[in-house]
Amino acid sequence: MAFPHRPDAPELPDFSMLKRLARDQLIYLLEQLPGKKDLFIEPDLMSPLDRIANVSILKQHEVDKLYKVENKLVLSSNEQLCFLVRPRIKNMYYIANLVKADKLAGRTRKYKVIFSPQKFYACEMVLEEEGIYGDVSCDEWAFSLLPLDVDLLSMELPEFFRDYFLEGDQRWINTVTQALHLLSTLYGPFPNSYGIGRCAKMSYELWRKLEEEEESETKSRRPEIGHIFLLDRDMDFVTALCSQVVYEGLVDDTFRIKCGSVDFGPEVTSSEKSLKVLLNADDKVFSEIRNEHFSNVFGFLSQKARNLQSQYDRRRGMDIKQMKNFVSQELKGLKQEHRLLSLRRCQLGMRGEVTVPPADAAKGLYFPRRDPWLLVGGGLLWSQMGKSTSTFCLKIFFLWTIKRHPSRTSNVSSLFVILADIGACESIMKKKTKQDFQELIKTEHALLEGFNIRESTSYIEEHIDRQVSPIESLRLMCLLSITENGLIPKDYRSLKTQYLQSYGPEHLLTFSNLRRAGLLTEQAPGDTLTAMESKVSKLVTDKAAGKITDAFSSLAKRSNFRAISKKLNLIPRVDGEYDLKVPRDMAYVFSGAYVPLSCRIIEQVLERRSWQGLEEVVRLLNCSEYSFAGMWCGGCGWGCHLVLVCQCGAEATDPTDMTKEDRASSESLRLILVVFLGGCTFSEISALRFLGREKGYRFIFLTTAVTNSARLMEAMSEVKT
Amino acid sequence: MNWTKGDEEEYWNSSMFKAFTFDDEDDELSQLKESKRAVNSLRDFVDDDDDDELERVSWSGEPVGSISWSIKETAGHSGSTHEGREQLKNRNSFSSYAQLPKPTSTYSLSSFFRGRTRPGSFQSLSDVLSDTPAKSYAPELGRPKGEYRDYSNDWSPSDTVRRLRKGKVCSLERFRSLQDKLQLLEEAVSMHDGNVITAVLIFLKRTLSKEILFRELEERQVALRHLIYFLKEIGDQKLLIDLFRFLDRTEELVLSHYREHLNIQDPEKRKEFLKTCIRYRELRSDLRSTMSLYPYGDDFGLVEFVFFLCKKEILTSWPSTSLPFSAEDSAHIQDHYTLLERQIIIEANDRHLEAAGQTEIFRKHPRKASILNMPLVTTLFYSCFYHYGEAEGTFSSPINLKKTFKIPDKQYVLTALAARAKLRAWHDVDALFTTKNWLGYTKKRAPIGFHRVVEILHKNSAPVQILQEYVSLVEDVDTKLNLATKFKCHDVVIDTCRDLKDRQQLLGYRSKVDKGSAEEEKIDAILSSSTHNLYGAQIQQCWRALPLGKFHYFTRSVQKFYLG
Repeated sequence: MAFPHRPDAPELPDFSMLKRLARDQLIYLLEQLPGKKDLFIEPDLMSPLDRIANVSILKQHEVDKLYKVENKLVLSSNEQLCFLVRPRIKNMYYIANLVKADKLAGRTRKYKVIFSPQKFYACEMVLEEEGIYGDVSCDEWAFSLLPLDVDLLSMELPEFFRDYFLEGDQRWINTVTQALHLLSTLYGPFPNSYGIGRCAKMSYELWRKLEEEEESETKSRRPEIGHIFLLDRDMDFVTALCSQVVYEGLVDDTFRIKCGSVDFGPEVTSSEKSLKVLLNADDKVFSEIRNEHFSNVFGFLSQKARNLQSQYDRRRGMDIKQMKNFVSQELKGLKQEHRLLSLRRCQLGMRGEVTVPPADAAKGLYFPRRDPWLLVGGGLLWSQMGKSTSTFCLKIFFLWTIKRHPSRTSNVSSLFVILADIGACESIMKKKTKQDFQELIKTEHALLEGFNIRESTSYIEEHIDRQVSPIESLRLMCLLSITENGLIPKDYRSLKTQYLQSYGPEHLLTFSNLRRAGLLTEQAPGDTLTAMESKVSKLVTDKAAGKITDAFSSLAKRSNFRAISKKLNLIPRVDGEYDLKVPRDMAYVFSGAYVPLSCRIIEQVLERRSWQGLEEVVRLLNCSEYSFAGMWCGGCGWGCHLVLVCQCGAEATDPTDMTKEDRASSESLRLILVVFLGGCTFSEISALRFLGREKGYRFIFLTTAVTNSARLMEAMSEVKT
Repeated sequence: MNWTKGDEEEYWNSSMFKAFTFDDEDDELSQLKESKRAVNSLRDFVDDDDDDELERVSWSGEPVGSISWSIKETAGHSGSTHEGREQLKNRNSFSSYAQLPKPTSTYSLSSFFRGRTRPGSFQSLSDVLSDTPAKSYAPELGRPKGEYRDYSNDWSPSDTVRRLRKGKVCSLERFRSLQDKLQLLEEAVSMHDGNVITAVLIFLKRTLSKEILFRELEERQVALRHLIYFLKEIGDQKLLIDLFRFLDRTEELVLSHYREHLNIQDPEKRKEFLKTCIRYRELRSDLRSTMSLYPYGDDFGLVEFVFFLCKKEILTSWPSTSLPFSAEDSAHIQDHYTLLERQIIIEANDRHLEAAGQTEIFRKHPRKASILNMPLVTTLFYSCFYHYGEAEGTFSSPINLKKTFKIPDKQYVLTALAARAKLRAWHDVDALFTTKNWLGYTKKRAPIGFHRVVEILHKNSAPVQILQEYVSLVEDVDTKLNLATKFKCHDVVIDTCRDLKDRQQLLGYRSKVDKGSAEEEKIDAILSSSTHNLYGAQIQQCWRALPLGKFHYFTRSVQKFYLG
């Protein structure tokens, strides 16, 4: 469990500065509107806001009441209204309606709109058209990077996926480049850049332009992060569409991790109240199990509890001095924990919901000031005895421990996290067995490996007929389509018809979306394209071939998954059982059946420090024009970025000003920033963390949002559930 | 990254200091930028002459790139060289500003912290982070610039686009010729920033006739995609449909028309609207009434929409019912219409029945929600639930639904089974699977496989007798045993084990049945009667070696351990 990093693995930079920056900027913006004001917050911004500020900070800056930006109009009596929104057209209409209603009523108020992370001209246009342009003042809150964890930065822009990959709108590219620029300003330049995908290329180009324009000082700084890798989500839809079996991914699939925390419902906490738990590296237990294959986790938790139980037993024999030591150690942790707890309380208070802080979560329970592990052990003992960790059992246990050891202190919230973890495990197990999880996984693996396609198709069919969740059915269809280069026309028709019958005819629009995004397509009659393509590509140069391939791909976007999988050896050959406890490769995140394509690409490129030797893969990915590798040139002092290898390494030229030592030193930097444009999954994160441990790298993830198969499908769905 | 306390303080001070210096309006700032640009372009002259200069010195004698220099650069006023020189004098006052003592109180840092009023507000960070600020601010100077020109009013397309990218307000009015406009658009597209592309498109949309706009965009796919999405977002359906029409994108045209039905709440109106998507003939005769339903007012009516379709000769193949795009999708929309039509009838009828309170089924099982706008399968379930026995002629009968929508057998059986099982109408369930052959013999047959039948029955908590009957019909023996064990159909397990002559399994199962029950007796009877059985001989020997009691205990604990 939780393998340590290699001793030569670099330290992660401290990203908490980003939070502070964002918070201070928000405060500044709030102070721009002096006096009491009501704050209207976009629902999607609430969770990110929770992570950097809390109600008391807002109150300190004279925020009076908080409202959600919703469809219904709110009656606010305040003289100043402040809106904190994403730059969306519908928000503009909402604000316009509010202002117009005021005008009708003859009321004058001050309005301020703060766009996060930036404002769009289209929004201003709406304000202008609605005749309220001068009445509201606009500002930008450039809060584009939220550190969700020590190594995970999220832009919290789930709409990026739909906006770009479905609608072809590039509005967020500038936001991405601004974020990259901020990172390079704070943490030094990134000497080596690689990327694949159209959006990656564009972001990279715009970012370079920005770096050149802004007289940034990055070049004189010593780089900390050695490599940056930009990757488009559409390079690898397959990985994102698979069911996740790594613990964190599974929790995300089952309970939806939102902005780094998860709401455990009553079925997990075994009480009426739901419990909000922050999931990150600060939580020691969680950080040990998050990257593990799910099958190991439950056993691990029990083991942990048992260990602690015995530790506790040992402690009972301590003398006074030892006891003092122990308590002071414990207190240290407690302080930290306490801070977290109060923070959490504030966050919860801020949401204006009735969720209670963990301390009150199990109402009626008096918290024993004791080692939580004992309690967990108790809970586990109960669960091992065939009973679930029900409140009742725990209650008895609590009472018993209070009576016996009233003086000890304990880490209350970590107790709850573990309890929640155990509860989550149980709940997942229940759900997964109910849903024939095994059968589902089997089907997925069959699709990935490309055998028993007929069987898988009829499995999907049955899924649809039984009206199992629409998202799940859609996901399987997409997986089938991508792995098979599109569905056979006959299958496509029948699956589509059945889908529309089961889940509603308006999904016609969803199917149209999926086809446009290349997620669910129909095979072109006859597979003539491939033969022609390969012939052509052999005849002409790489560049031209890329163009031709792209031309073809626009006709019928081919995923070529099978060929890529073969080329990159994504399906590991396993002799005997794959030991999930001691993973051999990144495939462990999918039970040893499949190495995530995105991670494999990153691994290969990092190994070669270029795309050389991967030309065929790049061609199969339809990305001949959109793969690049560049090197920042530190020597010349201009911070110019020489694109070394474009068009698959064909035109490698050495930067003149760069000495060999410089290159060597920059290449030896083992901190790697991976940018996922369109979202990444927890499985991918786990896989790369594993790779990092193996090779002595540390990965930092920057994603437009953490995603999973359900989120991708919902983004494509026209019918809002 | 580790910041020392000093660093931090300096950072905040420096940002304060910046705020202090630039406490002016955005507009002014942008003007300041101009002068810098002017100077920058002048720099290029110098560069050309002298490639390997040692230190760049501005007119004021300060090294180019030093902080105070850059501040003065940005503080300069106009772009002309002459004025630039004049500015130099003023700048001196700025440098004295810069030397003002830094505020010492750090109480409300944020009040000094400037938001992003100028590009790169975070520059202040880097100012501090770099050890040698004197060498900064170079890259822009290094950029090759076009010939020098007066920037004060006339922005080149690239400068305009750059300004737009930084979020500045920027008038586009001076781009009046088509060529200028297109150049601007191309520049925006080459920058990749979608926000800017949209900004330019908004301008083009306002200043170009749609024919010209569409024509030019047809060759510029990136911009075109932005326009389409923009129109979708602001809900300019009229222009969007015009655009699709121009582009000959019939499918998107119809789908975007079809999408509108989602905004119509009233079921009658929705139905009528769907009709406009499918029926051309009626549409024509009935145009006036449907027009009023069309959500985009009168100026763009359905007439135009329909005539367009006629013109495109889509309608030649469409005089009856088919749609102008793939026959398949048109059939789906047709089905949608028919379904809603049915649902409206059923809903009206059933609401009446329910209110009257005469019908038993509605009294016993009051409806939880209206059937309107539900998927077909749900509708089928509903009709199997409330209208099962009805004659085929009625709209609400399941058989009628099945025929109308060509519901596959599998789907029908699955749904009907779920509905009847929910009502615990086991006779209906029985009838569902019973087929008579021509000789009059009855036989059970399930198109979905009996293992599914069993699962569904179990989900609806069917009694063991019923379950047992269907479990025994499962063909695959392993599945049968699994299901029987899972659902405690003891007889089936015992019989199957007996047929398989699997003594061990039977023994194991013995511990699962209640002590002293009929099942236990049955097992014991089988076990004892089959002692001489050949197949069981070997297992039996093993068994005999163990005392019965112990073995019993063993299986129990094993079972408990593994099966929980």
